[in-house]
Amino acid sequence: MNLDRRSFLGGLAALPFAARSWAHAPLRRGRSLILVWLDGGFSHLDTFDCKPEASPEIRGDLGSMPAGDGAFVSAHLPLLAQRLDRCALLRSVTHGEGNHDRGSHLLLTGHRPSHVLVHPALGAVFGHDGDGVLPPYVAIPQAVDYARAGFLPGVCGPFEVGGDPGRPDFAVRDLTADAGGARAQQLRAALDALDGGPRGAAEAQRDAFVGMATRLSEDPAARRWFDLGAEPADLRARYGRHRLGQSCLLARRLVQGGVRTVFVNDPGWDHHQQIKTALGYGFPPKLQALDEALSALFDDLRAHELDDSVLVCLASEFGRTPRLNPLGGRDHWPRAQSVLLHGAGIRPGVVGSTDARGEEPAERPIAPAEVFATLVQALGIDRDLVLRTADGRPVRLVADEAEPVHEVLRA
Amino acid sequence: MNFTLASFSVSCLGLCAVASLIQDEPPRRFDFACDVLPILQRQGCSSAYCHGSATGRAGFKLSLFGSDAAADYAAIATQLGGRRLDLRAPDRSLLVQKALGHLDHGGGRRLPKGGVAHETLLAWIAAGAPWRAGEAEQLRSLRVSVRGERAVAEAGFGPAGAGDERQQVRDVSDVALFSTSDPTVVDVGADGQLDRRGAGQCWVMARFGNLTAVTRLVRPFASPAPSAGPAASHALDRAWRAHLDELGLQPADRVAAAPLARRLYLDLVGRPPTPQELDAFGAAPDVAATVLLLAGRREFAEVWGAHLADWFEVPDAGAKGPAAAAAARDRAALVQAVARGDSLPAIARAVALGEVGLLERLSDARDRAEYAGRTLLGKRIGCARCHDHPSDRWRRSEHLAFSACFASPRPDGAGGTMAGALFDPEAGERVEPRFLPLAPGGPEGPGENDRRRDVADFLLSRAHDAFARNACNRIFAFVFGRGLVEPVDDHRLGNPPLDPGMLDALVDAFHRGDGRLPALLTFVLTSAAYAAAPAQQEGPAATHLACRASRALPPDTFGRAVAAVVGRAPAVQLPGSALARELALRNGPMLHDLLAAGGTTVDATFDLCDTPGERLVELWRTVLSRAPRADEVLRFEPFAAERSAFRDLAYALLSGREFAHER
Repeated sequence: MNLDRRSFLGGLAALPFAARSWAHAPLRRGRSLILVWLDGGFSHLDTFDCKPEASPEIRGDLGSMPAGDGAFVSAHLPLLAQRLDRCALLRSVTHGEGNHDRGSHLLLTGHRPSHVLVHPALGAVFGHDGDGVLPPYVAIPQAVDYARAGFLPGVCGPFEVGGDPGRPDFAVRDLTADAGGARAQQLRAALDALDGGPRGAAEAQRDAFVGMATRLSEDPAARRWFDLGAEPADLRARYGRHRLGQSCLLARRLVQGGVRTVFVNDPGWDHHQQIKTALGYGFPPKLQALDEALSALFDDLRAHELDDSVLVCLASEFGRTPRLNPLGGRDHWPRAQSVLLHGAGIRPGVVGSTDARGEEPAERPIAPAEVFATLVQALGIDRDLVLRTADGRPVRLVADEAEPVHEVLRA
Repeated sequence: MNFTLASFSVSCLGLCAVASLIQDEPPRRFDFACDVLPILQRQGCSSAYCHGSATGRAGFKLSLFGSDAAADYAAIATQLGGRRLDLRAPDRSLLVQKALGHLDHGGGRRLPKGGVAHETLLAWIAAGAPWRAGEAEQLRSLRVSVRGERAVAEAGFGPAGAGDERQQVRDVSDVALFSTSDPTVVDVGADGQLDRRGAGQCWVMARFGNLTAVTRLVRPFASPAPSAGPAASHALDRAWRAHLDELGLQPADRVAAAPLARRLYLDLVGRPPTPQELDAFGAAPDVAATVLLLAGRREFAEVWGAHLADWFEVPDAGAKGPAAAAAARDRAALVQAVARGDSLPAIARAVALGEVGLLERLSDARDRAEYAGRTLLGKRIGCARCHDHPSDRWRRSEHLAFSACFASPRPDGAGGTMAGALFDPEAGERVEPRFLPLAPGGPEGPGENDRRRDVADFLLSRAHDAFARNACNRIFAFVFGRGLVEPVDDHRLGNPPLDPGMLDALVDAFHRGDGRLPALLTFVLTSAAYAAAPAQQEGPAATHLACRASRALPPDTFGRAVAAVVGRAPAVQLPGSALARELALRNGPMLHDLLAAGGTTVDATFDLCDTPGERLVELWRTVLSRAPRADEVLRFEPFAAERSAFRDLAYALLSGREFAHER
């Protein structure tokens, strides 16, 4: 990664208009990030920070199992438990933002939410200097609000594939050119050519995206990275024939094709009531889907020799209240949550712990800015990178000069 | 000899004061906020990356940007048992030693030894590190000017209410913070040294204490010369031409009737003109009459109601959840308001009273205050929620007091309600509601009886006229694609309008027309500035409005324009993200299915025109509001001979670069 921090924004501005070589299918270079976002806030006590010795109203009813290094994970995550020795588990992430929007902004950008500035997500900053046919930043199926470009130009935002990858008829919308439309496209190109070129930045940006759309439409090899049907049925089954599983599979395909950041959004983790039913016995059970999807992703990345270059991060905006509420749910709890990291040189191990009831970090409290700095460091981005807002205000990519969690980074 | 008892007593304490007596000058009286705090600000000590961060640095915490002088004084003078200062040997003070880099300091060396800032710190400590100089010597005014190649900041000190003539003026350039609005035109060093670079205009800003001052610098692109042609009769154009003359830029020629008609129709009713409307305007190109004609149509209310909804931050039509129904109601109410001909102040009053817009849906009084600030005053006061605004005058206390005006009513114990209260989250004390100090005179805060009405009166008051300036800038931005002030909700001294004269002319017209939208639009759209030819490429002419910059049609306008041109509404809207939008236009059903289904004006054109040439002309006039050029006729006429090819041609026009932009 070679980002000139002073000229970063200037480079971005020129990005869509730069001549690119589209002639060949891209070779994947550098590191990539798959961010699996469990939207709503997953319960740390029912996933990666179980408290089997706590009272029933704390530990819940879902059961747990030892997973080494003193960690207890949910009994509904048996596949992940077997693979925890390949992951870094941060159990003591803590902050004070108990609102979905504010917590999301903090976890996704590393910055505390501001009344005057929306910060960019990492995908809007990372990997935009490449020359591949595929867009550098893709969201499956859509990005959440703070996973976008923030104060950076809109071109830095994600390409949202839309739809539900778990559906049998899933296909990325409008990706395939109609064979009968060739004449119409030729006429459009001829009309634009006679128009005499773009007049100003808005038209140049439009032309750049027309070019991207054209190349993507006309490059079967590039388009194929979006095609889940190209994967063997047994592999698709291992990921799970549900939205999260197939989204993770699509993410693996896209980073293999050259996408630098894939944001996988799995909604529905805001369990204020009947958390046991939703996590353990829903349709599909949330934990089973997570277990299948993530463990298959880890195995698949290894099978494709991508686990050294693809960083997988599992996170959400906060944890959930240690004590079950009267409705059998758990409410928002930012004072303790878990984050799971895998691949791209991440050193496996369990970092930090929470107290006996999962309320507070007992050791090694970790701020979201430190988690963000860890991703930045693992991806090889300059941690001192300074971005500029539209009005020229310098803003550090990493808030408060936060240090990464060195325990999980290889020297 | 001229000394007072006070100066005499000080003189007994140290040699510095004795020296001042010998020189027959009163000893300097120091003030922490005016003498020391600016040094900490200028050296970056109180920045977010240093001691101004939330937790400070190395056990030493300052307020962010020096926003809390009392706290900073306490941190320096009293914390650690006062060990940061050595009153007997000022040069051995921890504060000085660290700043000089003589002791281990994460921020390195910040002050040059023997410099003005260093000497000031030493003198302040030697004088006993006083907190205030006295009420009669407080900072009252700030002025910045350019002398030669240097920016000079001068501060006025005096008692409260002292006019300029009674203030003692002191050059504070050594400690003021300088910045420039455009470093590509003129950059300014920390010492005020100017580095003149490219052509254009910029504002040099100085900040000292809690005051900000700006001065404008112009570096012409060519020798300034009055533009050719007769003097402008339109007030907006007089300001425009003066601005361009000063910059040495020539205004672009006026566009022909057809492209002007296209602009007018896209701006007023969100679609291109029909061929009949195009002909009518070509026969009598009367812009004012066209505005009057179109302003009475439902489509005008729909388009401008949507603009107002964006202005007042009403969620878009695709919103989900509980907010969706309220958003739909608000959008409909704003369309109705435009259709009724309500004035902009009347609509704004409804927003201020919470009848429409988000005011009633925000639960936190501070959010409400900031919403009112952004949408009605055009001012971002959000920074001051946590600290004094770093580039504007707003203090945290003013933000809090203004927020108290928006506190929710509470039960009065007798079945009714009483004015709400806001408590300072840090001090825990009740905050007295106060308006932002935008203009002298007038009520300082709302009464107890009808607080909402009083707040609305303040927001729309002509005493400060912030709403009128905000409204004019927003309307200008809707029409020109950019505001004279950008961002449109950030009017402040340090972010002046591109052309202050044009904004003043707009505000005059706003008041003459009683804030009515059609009157203001007539004023803007009848100007030569509006009719200026489009830029061929980005450059200073487009930046300074000498010509028009092309802008993309927003997705909803694009859909409306397609529906008007084709005669049938598309079944799907364009997605928001740029690549998805181009993929949808290229491969999606929006245009392809619409044209293939038949029954469109495209098919009617094909059927009703006798020759390929006639079809081509009619299609071009319908879609692009112009006749095809010769090269286009040569290239595309063969495709007007067969229906499916003609549909493909229509697709090419609708998805092409020209249709997708307003030039």
